[in-house]
Order: sequence, then C-alpha cells, then structure tokens
Amino acid sequence: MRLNPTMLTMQNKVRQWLLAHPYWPLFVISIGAWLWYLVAASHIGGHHGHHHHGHHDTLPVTTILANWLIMVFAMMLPMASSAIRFIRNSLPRYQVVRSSLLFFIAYCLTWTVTGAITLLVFSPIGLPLQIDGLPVAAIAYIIAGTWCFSRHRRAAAQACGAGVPLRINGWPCYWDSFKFGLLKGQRCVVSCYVIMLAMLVAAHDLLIMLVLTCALLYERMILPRTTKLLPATCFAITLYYLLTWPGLAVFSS
Amino acid sequence: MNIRKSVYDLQDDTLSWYSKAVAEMKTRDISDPTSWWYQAAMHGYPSRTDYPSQADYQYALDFWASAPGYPPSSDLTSSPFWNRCQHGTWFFLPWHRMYLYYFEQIVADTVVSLGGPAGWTLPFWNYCEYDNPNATAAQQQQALNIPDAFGSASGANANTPDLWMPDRANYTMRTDYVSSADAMAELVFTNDNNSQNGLEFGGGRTGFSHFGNQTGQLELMPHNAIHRDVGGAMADPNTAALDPIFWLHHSSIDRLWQVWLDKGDNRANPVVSAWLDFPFKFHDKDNNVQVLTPGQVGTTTQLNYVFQSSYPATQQAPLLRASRTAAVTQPELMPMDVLGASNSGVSLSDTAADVPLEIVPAAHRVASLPGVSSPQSKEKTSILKINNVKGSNKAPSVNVFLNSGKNPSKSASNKVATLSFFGLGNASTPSLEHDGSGMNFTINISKVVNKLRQQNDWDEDNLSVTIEPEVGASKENILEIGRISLHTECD
Repeated sequence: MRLNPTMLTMQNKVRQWLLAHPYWPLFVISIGAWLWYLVAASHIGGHHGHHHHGHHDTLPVTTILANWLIMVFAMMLPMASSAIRFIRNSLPRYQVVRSSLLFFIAYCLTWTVTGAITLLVFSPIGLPLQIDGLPVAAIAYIIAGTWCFSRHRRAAAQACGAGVPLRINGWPCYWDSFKFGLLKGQRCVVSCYVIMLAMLVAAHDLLIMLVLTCALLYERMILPRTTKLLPATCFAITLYYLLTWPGLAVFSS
Repeated sequence: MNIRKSVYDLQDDTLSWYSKAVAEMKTRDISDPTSWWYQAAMHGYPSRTDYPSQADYQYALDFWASAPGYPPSSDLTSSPFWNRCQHGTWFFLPWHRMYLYYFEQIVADTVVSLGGPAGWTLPFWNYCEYDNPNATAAQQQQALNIPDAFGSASGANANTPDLWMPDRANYTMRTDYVSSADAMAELVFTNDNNSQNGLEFGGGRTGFSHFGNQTGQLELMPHNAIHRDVGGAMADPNTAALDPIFWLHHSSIDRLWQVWLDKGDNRANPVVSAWLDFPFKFHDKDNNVQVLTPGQVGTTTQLNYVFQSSYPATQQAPLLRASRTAAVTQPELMPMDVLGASNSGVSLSDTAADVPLEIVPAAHRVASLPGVSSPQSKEKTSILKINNVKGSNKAPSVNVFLNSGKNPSKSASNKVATLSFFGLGNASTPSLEHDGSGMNFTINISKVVNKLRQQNDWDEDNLSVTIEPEVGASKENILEIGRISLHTECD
C-alpha cells in the first residue's frame, strides 16, 4: 500500500515527536499503571472504591510487592524521563535502547528493594497502619510535608537531575547505564520515599495519588528549588484526613 | 525610549553620577533592596558550601564585610530574592535583562535624589569592538580595556572613586576572550528537539536554575571569559555584582542578545509557555515587589530602551520575537550522533592532559568523519561536548585542542576553544542551589574538524583531545572533567 503525502507528513511528524521525546515508553508504562488503578477501582466499586492497599495484610507478599511496583510505575517513571533523554543525548544510537533498558531495570530494582524492606518492616503491624485513637493518615502526611521542607530532602530533590559520565561502547557502556539507573533510583528514593510511605500508611486515595504525582512533577521539572507546592499539598491532605477522621467527626454523618 | 550608550562614546557625566550613586547605595543597609549590597546579593551571596576551603569562603565574604548591617540575617540570605541569578539555562538572558532593568531604575532614582539629572541610563562596555574591522587599531585596543573611570591596577580614579574595585586581576582583556562571533553564528536560542546537537545561543531548557549545566554559547563566550579575565570579585558569582563594571559587562551581553535577534535567518526567542511565562521577582526603585516574565522582556523595546549602534551592529528590526503569535520557523538542524567519547575522567592541575577518544565501531557508526581530498567536499557540523566539569571558583581557564593521529599537538590550527568557568565551585557542590554535577559545555568545532580532514594524516579512528590549563593553573587548583565526546552530523 502506498502512503499519500498527508500520511507521510503525519508519519514524519510522529517520528520527529518520538525522537524529541525518547522517554515516551516510560509514560506509556506510567499511563498503563494509572489505567490499572482505574480498572481495579471500578472492580472494587462501592463507596470504598477509591482506596487501595487496604487489604495488604491479607494479600500474598508478591502481590503486595507488585502493587508497590505499579505505584512506582505510575508515579515515579515520569520523574525519570530526563535521565532517558540524557542517555539518548550522550550515547551512540546503537546503544540507546539497550542502555535505556538497563537504566530502567536498575531504577526499578532500587524501588523494588526499597518496597521489599518497607514491607518487611511493616509486616508485623500491617498496612495501612491503624492505631486506635490516632489519626494515622494525617500524622503520616504531616511528617511527609515537614520532611519536604528539610534541607536534606530539598538537596536530594535538586540532585535528582544530575547526569553522570557514560562510556559509549560494550560492557562498560551497559555497566555505566545500569549504575546510572541505581544512582537515579537512590536519589529518587531519598527525595520521594517518604511521600510513597505516607500513601502506604494512609491507604491512599487515587485522587490523592494523582495530586501528589502532579506536585512532584511540577517540582522536578519546573521549579526544582523555589516551589513549596509539595509540602503544601501534603499539609492540605493532612487537613483532609484530620477533618474526615472519626475522632474529630467534623464531616461524619 | 531610553538609549544605552557605549561607555567609550560617553560625552557626559554618566560615569561620574554612576560613581556617586554607587557611593550612596553603599551607605544603605544590606537589608534595603535599593542598597548596593542587596542588589549584588540578588545575583549571589557566598555560602560555605560553595567553596572548597574556609580561606576561599573568607576571601568572598571579605568583599561584603563593609556593608552596613553585615552580616546579613539568615532570613535575608534565604529570602526568595537573594541568590537568584540564572546560569546554565535558557533563563540566563531574560533574568539578567530584568535584573539590569530594575538596577538601572534604582541607580537613576539615586542620581536624581543626589541632585543629578533625570533619565540616567546604564552604559555598555563593548569589548567586541576589538573585532570590528572598521575600527582603528587604537579603538580596537581601547575596547579591551576596562574604562579609566573604573580605576587601574594602581588604584581608583580620583574623579570616580567608587567605580574601582580592589583585587581585579586584569584591566586589559585577552583578545581571544572578547569575541561574540561563535554565539552570533548560532541559529537557535534553545535546542529543544535535537539535543545531540547541543549548540544553542541562549542556553538549554531548564526550570529555575541558579547554576544549571545547559550553558548557551553567549554565556560561554564572551560572558564567562570576561568575568574570569577581570578576576577578583568578578570571577565569583557570589561577589561579581559588587564590582561596578559587572553592570556594564552585562549591559553588553544584553545588547548582544538583541543584536542576535536582529540578525534574522529565523533567529528567535523560545515561543513556549515554559519560557515565556516563567515568573521572576524583583524590587523596583520604590521597594515594591515586581514580577516579570521572559515573554515581557524578549526585546529591549518592551522595556522602553534601545542600544546605541555599535559593533556587531544592531539592525533595529521592529520585531517582537517574543510574541507567541510570531510566525517563526525554527531552522531545521541536521541530526547528529556520537562518533567518540573519552573512556574515563580527567583530572588536571597545572599540566596539559591528552585524552584519547574511544570511537564507535565502524559497523555501528551512523555519523562519520572520513578524510576528504578537496575543500569542495561535503563539510559537516561537529561539536565537542565537555561534561561534568568540576572544580573551584578559582579553576583556571583551559585551552582545548583536537588531534588526529598519534602525536598530540597544541597549535592554532587544532585549537577548538578556550573555556572559562564562572560559578564552577557553585555548580560542583550538591546543595539546595545545584545538583553538583558540574558544568557542561558544547563547542562548535566544525571549522577545525573540516580543516583537519583535509590533511593526509587525518584518521577518524584515532582522535584525541588535549586540555591545557592556562592562567591560574596550580597543583592545588584541581579541575576535573567527567567526559569529552565528539558528535557529528549523521551520514
């Protein structure tokens, strides 16, 4: 079949766009994770439909870990887009796909190990955390918001954008890409883990997850230093959980 | 419309009033936004983490020690107005234009308050005049000099004492530090879609970036080079704006941005909202907080001033290139790929280092640089990227040479650039302001490469780069380079 000129132009534009946005697979995976959440939410249904991880203590560890990874895919992969662009701009074309894949594996490995350790620590008490007489979710988010203000966390968020020297040929290239993924993963963990933990502890709401993802992306890509949007978001969520906490019963009927 | 004039063409008492205004502004408390100190701190103020040693930190602080109200409170040093300068980013030019605009207002207001004339305007120091083929030898030589009003190595000018600054290293700039030709030759402000070709006039796309690593060509040369060549306070972004010559230097850089736009060939400012609408806060002469965006300062006429004609010439084209409705076609850039890159980092002190480039295997090479037999053969655009450069704010400039074959050499024919670093210490230290990965540079080496390819001994499989530290090099002053890579047009 022959393509007409309009289709060829369109094809060219798509090719140009994909070249200009080499991190598109990360966004595809991220969107896939969000869709998974939406489908899962609609299957659970009812008035508790938006809540996730609410029954971790009854699920097998592998399922809990898979859920954790899906949350990482949804929220953290867009944050790694600049690293994929960096790889594309630093390496010869023949290495880009393999190096990006190795970066991706190492980045996810860091988060998987972090998730496994978290589940190990919390397995005796279960997640989401429930302590009678305490607004656990509100406390989790106020800690997360306060942490976001800390010098250590702000410096870590700034360091997330750093590039590293990559060798271009053979195994040294693959090893450097893998190490870059580990490094990027570590920096993202320091920068974002407390937020992720707060969501686990609080049995997060899908809408809250979306809001936090937007705040994280805004902070990372637009205002790496000046914005206070992320802690402000955490404090707003704290307020929401406080006002809906049965102990206060402001909005309970 | 105000007219900013070349400092060497001034026939009035502009500099005399500038000196008096500086003296007056220096008497104001460091917490006063119209004080000399506060204005300079908006560009940068020393933090211990920016310096490798306590001695270097103290050297920077000493420039501030005579400020009324010194030391500043922590509220002041962490305020959303201090340490704002944008470098290594596509905001470099608009931020500094805004900064100069309000500074000029404050000085003009101070001049009036001292009994001077209304309408004081900031002159520019056009060192680029050195390259003007129509200028006389005396005019060319004069352009290299910091004007007499700013004093000399022996001290201040008696008529304008407050324009002097102690510890300047040079009063005559090096001839290879003043050219804007490479920057002017660039066709894109920010290379957003084809970043293997990292050549760009105005810097790379970033968010707020006090010291980023996407340095544009104009920032690299002559901006950085002049900062380092003047030396002293000017060499450090945390003290630079304390030197009165700083403002005339940046007025010159501001002019070159307008000249570049007026050169045509579809040169244009970015037209995306991420650039046009990014807000920056300043104080005006009445201490009111003002917010400006790059879209509001894309041309000088938007801020009600133009520059006196000088070299390189402004054509005064009535273009509002920052307009989001402007029909601008970005030039099509040839796709590039890596041809070779260094296999390890380089650590330099006071001796040159030869860095071999590992070349992409022939079977995978999509961008090659074979030797050509005649000058008529197809030439290619080639760039050298020097990444993750780390060191202190006192790091020496370096000369960069490209070699083909087994005998590295350092001559004018294979010299591709001189790199000067401004804010290297800041960019090398992980902190709230910087990611700590150092600075990145992209150099257009097409001319040298295409010339070397004419030679019989050209061998694209055997390339190396020589880095030679120059003025200021010492065993203690270590410069680290993470990676050097050569990129060229795809076949």
